[in-house]
Amino acid sequence: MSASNQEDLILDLKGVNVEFDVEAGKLHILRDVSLSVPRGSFLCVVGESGCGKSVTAQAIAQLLPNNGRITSGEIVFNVDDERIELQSLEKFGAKMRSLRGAKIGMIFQDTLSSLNPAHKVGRQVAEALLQHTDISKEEARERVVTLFTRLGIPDPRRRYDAYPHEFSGGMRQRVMIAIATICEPDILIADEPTTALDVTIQAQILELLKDLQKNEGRTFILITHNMALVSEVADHVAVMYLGRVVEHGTTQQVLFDPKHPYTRALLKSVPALDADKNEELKTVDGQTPSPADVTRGCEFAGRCPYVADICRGETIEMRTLPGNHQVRCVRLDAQGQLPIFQIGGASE
Amino acid sequence: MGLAISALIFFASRLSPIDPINSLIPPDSAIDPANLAKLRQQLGLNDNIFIQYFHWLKEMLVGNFGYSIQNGQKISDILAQRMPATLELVLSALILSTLFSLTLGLFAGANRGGFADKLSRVLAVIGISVPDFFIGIALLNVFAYRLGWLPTGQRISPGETTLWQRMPHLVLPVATLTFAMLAVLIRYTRNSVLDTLNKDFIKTARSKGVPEWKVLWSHVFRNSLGPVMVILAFRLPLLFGGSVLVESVFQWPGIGSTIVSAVTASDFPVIMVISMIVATAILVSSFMVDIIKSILDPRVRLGGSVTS
Amino acid sequence: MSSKKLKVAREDSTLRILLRQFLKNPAGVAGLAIVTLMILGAIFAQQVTGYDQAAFDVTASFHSPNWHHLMGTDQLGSDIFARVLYGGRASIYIGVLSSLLGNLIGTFLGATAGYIGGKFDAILMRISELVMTFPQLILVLICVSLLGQGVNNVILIFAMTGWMTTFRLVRGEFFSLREEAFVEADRAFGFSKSRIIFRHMLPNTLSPIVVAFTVNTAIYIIAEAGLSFLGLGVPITTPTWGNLLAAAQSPVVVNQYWWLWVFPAIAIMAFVFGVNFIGDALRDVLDPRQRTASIKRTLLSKIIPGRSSKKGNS
Repeated sequence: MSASNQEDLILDLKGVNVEFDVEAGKLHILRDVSLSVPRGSFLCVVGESGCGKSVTAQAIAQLLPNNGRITSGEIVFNVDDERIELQSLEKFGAKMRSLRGAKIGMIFQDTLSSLNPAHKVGRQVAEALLQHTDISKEEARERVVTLFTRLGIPDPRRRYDAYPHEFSGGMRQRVMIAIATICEPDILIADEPTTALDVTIQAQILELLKDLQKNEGRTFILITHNMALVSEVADHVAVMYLGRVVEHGTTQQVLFDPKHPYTRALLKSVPALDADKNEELKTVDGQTPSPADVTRGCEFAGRCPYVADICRGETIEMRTLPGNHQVRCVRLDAQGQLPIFQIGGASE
Repeated sequence: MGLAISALIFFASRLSPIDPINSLIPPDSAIDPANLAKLRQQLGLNDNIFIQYFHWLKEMLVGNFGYSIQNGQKISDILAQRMPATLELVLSALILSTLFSLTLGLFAGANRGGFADKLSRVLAVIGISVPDFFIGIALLNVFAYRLGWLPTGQRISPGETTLWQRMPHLVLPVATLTFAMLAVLIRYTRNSVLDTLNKDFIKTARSKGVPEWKVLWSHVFRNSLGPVMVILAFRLPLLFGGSVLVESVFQWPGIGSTIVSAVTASDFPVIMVISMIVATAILVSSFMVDIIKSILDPRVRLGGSVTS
Repeated sequence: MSSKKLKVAREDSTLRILLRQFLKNPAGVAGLAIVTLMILGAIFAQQVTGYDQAAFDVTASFHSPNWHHLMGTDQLGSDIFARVLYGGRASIYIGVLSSLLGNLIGTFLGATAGYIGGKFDAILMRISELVMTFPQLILVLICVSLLGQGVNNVILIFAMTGWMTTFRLVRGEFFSLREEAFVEADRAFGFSKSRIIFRHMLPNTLSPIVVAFTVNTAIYIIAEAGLSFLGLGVPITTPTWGNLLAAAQSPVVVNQYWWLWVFPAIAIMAFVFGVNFIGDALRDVLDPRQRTASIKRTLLSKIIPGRSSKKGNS
């Protein structure tokens, strides 16, 4: 499922499978996930809670919890003219650690719990810098203060010595962004960075991220369940369902010409500002099954309005439509169109 | 709080048949009945019991602790003699047990199923079931009698003057007392460490590429200390109680054995004074632990929100 | 067919279910076995050993363990085994009764304080705080100096200095129970306060109380041992395990006549182990929260990936 060879891919996931050990056995969380991320692009990974998008991010950074592991597949990271297979590196080994923070930056969702409450904020940002560069503490402090200014944190010098609980949510997120970007990593992975914030602050943070991408040429992977965000910032979109990538393409393709039934349902369920208030809000039928339950065929079969017998057979392969628009649906015809009719459910 | 206890004891002791005057005057002052009566009046022994209590309290604050019924010694002298011994014991045990439990607890939490973890579990079981002083006796038996490595009790052997020379005497009693504290402290440290390891900011630290040892030390350990300090404060009383038994086993001339002999002889003045002292000591140490806690947790310090 | 169904319904009373579960727990069964064995031994001390614990034979003094005297003899030639078994009577009696009494006081106070709240509760909390921060042993010593020694005094003293933990436990439970719907319903029905407290709310808090009872028994047995070791507990005329241990106060004994104190110590440890095992098993069996918690854990772990299914292991 890789893209054309001409593209400069900073990250290329090929058939990654992740399993978790739980009391009841093993949970197959990521199924054959393949994603190619061109350098300098902004990718949004979307899906419902539990679809595996966070796990994907963790897998890339090799920060899976103790009971999780990558069982197969490759995660190729191309940086500094070097081709590194991340999944083969030791989790806390020197090589992987030299990448984390320096080449791969991470931004987390819950800022209050993601920052050490006992350390000053400035120190936490400087920690990343001091880990990867050989500079003095004073020099690090200066750089952090500069970054704070750049990221819009007022009174940066004083704020350096403040503690996380003294900041508002939006400011804390900026601190997290500072931590992630201070070493100027090539790729940034943000896991629902704005979910806990007010809408206005959300917009600010997003703008900040987009700005970082444009002006500093960084690659972004933004994980979210909020489709509205996607349209604002993403170049590419990957839709995930139950551990599988079901659709992947440019924002234009996925948002305005969605092919996969799940994507279409997802988009329809986003309340639009100009929607008729009296119309029922469309939801996706049914409930997300547990990863332990689905084993054969299409994961979405149980809720899909287009389901047919063929959907419950073998694992559905990813199909590439013109324009490198990838869809994992077996109901698409040769032109990549879904059938006009559906089984039950409301009309299109 | 100490006041309440001392008041209780004071009133109760007045109920005993022993004439309190014996504790208020030096035993060898020549007493003839006439003087005795006058002295009684002077010392306020004919007054209302509440007044007597306040009188006694006043004397305490000044430092006039009265005299022991048993041997007529000035109580303040007894204290001066025996306090250092107990302090040696208690402070050493406190420091050692804190150090040990923190390190062991840290490793137990960080390496699930590792040596430290198993050790802490074993210690926990032993700690609950075995009487602390028995450990002392057992240790005495093995190390002092059987192996003859360490002296068989007491604080000093003839000819020893410096602390260094006296060290061997300290080993077993301190070890016993330390052990008593260890079992519980290790378990709490371990749990605190485990809780901290699950926190999100550990993930952030790792995402920066920080090496594991630094994550453990700078992030995990630092944040696990808080709850442990709270438990430590709660356990302080046990330290004092434990020292009584340990002093008895090892014939250690400290406050603990003093109070035992005082109780045996119904020497109330001594009992009262020592209880006051113990109460104060505990108050002071809890206060200090509170201070340490606020240093550790900036949220408490700055009076900011304590919600995590 | 219908008579069969009726039978099943009647058989599965809560008590039986709990009993069955308890018996499945190996540690619990082991504990129960140890404890029962020792209690029986204590009661039938004379029959088991063939010696009267008070009998002495000076010619046989300080004999090390041999076939006649499995645990040796003491200074007066009394059989240690008999003394240990007999000593169990007083020790276990003290342990159980102190725990019972302390629990009763604590439960009663905790229930009323938890339900009524207000000043009554505040005062009790103050008192319990006061007593808890003071070293228990020293407190006990002080009480001994005021009240004197003896088995019953010791029980009284232990109960008076130890009711606080049960008090806080029950009080806490009652605070949360107070908000429950069935209490409001009771109030609406016009039930008297004491009826509500004791017949309706209390049964719900029974499990932690029972567990506390076992834990405290172990604690008090050890406490009695310590007290008697110092010579301030039960006078030597009534042997207890602590009493017997007191022999180890003399260095000669510790060095040469180890059987005098090792066996009582082992007795204490064995019994306490047994009681603790029972307590642990009871806790697992009785605490409904633990049970539903583990069910919840398994469910959650199936649904949410990455969520470790073992939360907060002790």
